[in-house]
Amino acid sequence: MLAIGRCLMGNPELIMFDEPSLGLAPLVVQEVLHTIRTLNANGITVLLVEQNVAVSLKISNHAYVLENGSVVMSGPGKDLLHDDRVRQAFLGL
Amino acid sequence: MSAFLRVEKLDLYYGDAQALARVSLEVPKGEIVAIVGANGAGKSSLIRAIAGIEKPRCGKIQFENKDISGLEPHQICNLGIGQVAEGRQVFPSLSVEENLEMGGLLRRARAAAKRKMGEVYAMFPQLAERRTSSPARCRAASSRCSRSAAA
Repeated sequence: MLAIGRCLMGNPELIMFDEPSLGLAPLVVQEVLHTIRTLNANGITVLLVEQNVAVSLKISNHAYVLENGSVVMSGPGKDLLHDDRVRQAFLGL
Repeated sequence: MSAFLRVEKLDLYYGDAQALARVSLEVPKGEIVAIVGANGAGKSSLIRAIAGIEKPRCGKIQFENKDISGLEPHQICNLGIGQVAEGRQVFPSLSVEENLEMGGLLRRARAAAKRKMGEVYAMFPQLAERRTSSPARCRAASSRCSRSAAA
């Protein structure tokens, strides 16, 4: 939360989050995601980079899948969440 | 909706190793856009390129229709692009409040720093309670808090 607070002190219009869930307990991850959604509801645009694919696709309007430095897929987050290729590659389903 | 941030055909190399190949994306104003992928896919490289930390070999980055390719990181921050870095990267030797003050040193933020500090403390009361503590104590308290909530 301190890192997010420090970023907000700069009065940003767009925030890029690099792996905000990395190394955090599941409950803290939920808290961070709630904060990201609140900031977005307050008008801040968000670019969210995450390995936690399920979580990030759920909260995003749109998403891009990167593989070996290239965009291999893109679309609304909720659509990608139900895409068989994404489910097999990242969600183990 | 028009793109707030637009990346066009970005190529980024570390020496001879190509990290990004012809990456294009758009972030419309007011939306949440996610970049997902496995370790080493280029996600952090992309953020670092947008932030001006890494210099792409070719391609274009536009923010609010202005070409920001080649600008320095502090100039990009001053345009209104903030970053919460991987691993959070706070200053461990500074207090919580001093860490926040560092974020308010940007030219675009200085005049409103005091008001902004109040907003941040209102949003994160746990930071206000530990404003003179080190970030490590703040993190420990936050974990304890989450464990109690789980119990």
